[in-house]
Amino acid sequence: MQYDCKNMSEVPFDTVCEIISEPSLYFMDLGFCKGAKVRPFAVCLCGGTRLYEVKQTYIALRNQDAAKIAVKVVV
Amino acid sequence: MAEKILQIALAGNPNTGKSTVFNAFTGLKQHTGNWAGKTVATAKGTMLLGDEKAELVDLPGVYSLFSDRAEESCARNFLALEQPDGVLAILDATCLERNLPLVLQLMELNQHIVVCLNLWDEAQKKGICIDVEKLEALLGVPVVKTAARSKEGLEEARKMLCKAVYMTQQPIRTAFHDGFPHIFGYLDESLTEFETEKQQNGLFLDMILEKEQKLWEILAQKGYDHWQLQALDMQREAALQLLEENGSSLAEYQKSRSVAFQNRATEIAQQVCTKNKKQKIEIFDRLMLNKTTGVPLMLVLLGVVFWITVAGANVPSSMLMEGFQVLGVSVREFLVSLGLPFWLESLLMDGIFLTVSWVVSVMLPPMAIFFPLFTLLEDFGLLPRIAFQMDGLFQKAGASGKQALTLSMGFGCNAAGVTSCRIIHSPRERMIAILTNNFVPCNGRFPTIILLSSIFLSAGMPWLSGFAVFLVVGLSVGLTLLVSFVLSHTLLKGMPSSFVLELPPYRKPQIGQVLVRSLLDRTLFVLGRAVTVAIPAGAVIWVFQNVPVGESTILQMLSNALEPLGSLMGLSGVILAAFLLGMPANEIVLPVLLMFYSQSGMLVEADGMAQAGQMLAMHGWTWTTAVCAILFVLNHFPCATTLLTIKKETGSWKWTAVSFLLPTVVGILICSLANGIFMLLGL
Repeated sequence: MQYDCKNMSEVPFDTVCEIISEPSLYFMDLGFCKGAKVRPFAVCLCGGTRLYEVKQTYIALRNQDAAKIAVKVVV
Repeated sequence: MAEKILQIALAGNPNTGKSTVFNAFTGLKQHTGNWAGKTVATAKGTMLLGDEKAELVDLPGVYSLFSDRAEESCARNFLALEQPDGVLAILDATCLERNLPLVLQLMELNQHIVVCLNLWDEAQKKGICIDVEKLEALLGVPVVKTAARSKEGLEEARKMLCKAVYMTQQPIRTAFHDGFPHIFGYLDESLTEFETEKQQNGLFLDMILEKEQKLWEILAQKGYDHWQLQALDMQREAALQLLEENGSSLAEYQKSRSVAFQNRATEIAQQVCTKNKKQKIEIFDRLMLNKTTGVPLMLVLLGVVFWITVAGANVPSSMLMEGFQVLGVSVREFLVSLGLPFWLESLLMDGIFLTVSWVVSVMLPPMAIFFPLFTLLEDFGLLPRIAFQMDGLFQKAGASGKQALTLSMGFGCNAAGVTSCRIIHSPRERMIAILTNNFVPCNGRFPTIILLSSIFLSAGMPWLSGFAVFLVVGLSVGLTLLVSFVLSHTLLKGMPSSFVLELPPYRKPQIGQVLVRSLLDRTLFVLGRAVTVAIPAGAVIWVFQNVPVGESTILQMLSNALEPLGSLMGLSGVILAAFLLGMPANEIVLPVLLMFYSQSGMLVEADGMAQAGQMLAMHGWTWTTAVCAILFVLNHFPCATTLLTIKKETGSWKWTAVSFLLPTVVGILICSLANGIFMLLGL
């Protein structure tokens, strides 16, 4: 199955994706740098914030921030 | 001449165990818990390093030294400009790749560094193997395995640190300038007067390029004159121009620097780390983090905590009150035997002693149950998960999801909750969190809520009063969200900021330590403060109640003045007067009220709940009065300690005044509304 995802906030849960853009310095320092593998797997009550697994850690990000990170799905 | 004391810095990512290591080495009691960001200020303590004393500095956790956030600049400036004699870098062994970039950056600033692979026991349980010798060889600095919670490896870390402070080490540095040789080559050649600084501080050229103000101040203090510093400015401008001429920018350099450290960290982690077990998300987390099951599960857990607190507090409260009665008889006899004047004996026994005995009897049991339970949840790792689930709601309210964490701290003590708001980066959202923290009932108010619920709202079924308390807590959270929404659209308008929260793994709480810590550090500390306030408050109340002013007393005058407002709110002038006089500490509101009701001006010797209930009923209390009183307990001005803390955190009398008025006005409105509804329904 192919996913046409443009940014990290659109990736379906439990789907591994690779970051293809360079986000801001703060997110890079958290591990969201170009080439990193990320997997979203939960969304909070009322939506708006999702949980991502990156570099053996789970980090919650709001969709407004995740939307700024371009990814491609690793099939 | 004062002997120079060694200075050691503790640095690392958030939630790696720095404060646990700090407490183990210094014997102090930094707040520890299983969530990132709890250490909000730099703490200092003294440790032994060999035969010498050293100052240990616990820095707030940071992911990198290069962000423009306050904690990162604070940590970077301390390490680069104050040049501690050694650095203990604490890593989480369960996620080495994540933690290594910071260690590589620390190695640029200080060669006297020891790396602690902390949480080694957890890494082993997860089947993570790290080749420590290879890691040492790749970093060029000593590495030691530790499990700080059980104090394993700490003595070895201390010995290695002792050697590292006096030895010349050769950390293998990262070539993060390599992408821009022309810029840094130029700066290196032109800043020949600053050779000492360049050697001591591997980020010196970066700090010049990024115009780190603190660096200019330190250089001025070191004796560099105005012309030298001006030349520094000019070289910086020239370097920036050179960057642009080469089709680049400072922002691009900063990104390439981060990438350099991340890539090297990934390389090293791949060489030294192997996983024997596939990492699985724990089943409990699947349930907690699912938006359908997570929230009900959280509500059930919190409900159980409140039910245990309510059910468990009643019997010890009665026993304590009986004990104080017996003690009171003996103390009174002793005072009589000293031949004190009646008024002094009455002031000491019927004012001070009875106020203190009531405060202890009412406060201690629920606090002794609630604090340990809350600390267990905190240590287990539930708080960040609650913050994650609540973030959607806080985002809609225009506030930060981390407010759920500060709100949780407020359940213990609102002053502590206000201080914890430092974890929120956005000044606007931090102010919202500070102003709304008082809407959650602290441990000073819980006993009053529990007592009134038990007396008037249980209908003979104890679980019902627990449920009532649970509803009160739910209301407090709902009000927090509502008021945050209103503030973010009126006084504190602005766009929601980024929300980033790391979820730590679940950790088995150390029950013995939790009990000791929550009893000694939290329960007895808060109780001690309450008793300290209750002593003078008891004296003042006795004076207000017993010293005549004309044909009246001060209390009568005050309660008469407040009677119209009290009636509107479903309360009375006496009740409002009790709240006003309870401003030094919320826990004395009910004792003050009972003292007022006693016709002789003496505090009723309540035999626990029953007589207190009778006393209140005798003065016209019904269940509707109790509901209005509970609503006002929840929504009234902060206590004096919290107000002072707000002034300190905001630096503003204006916002302190807002924090006083906001919950009070909300409380008056809600109580008046509730009273109006009760009257309409004929209740």
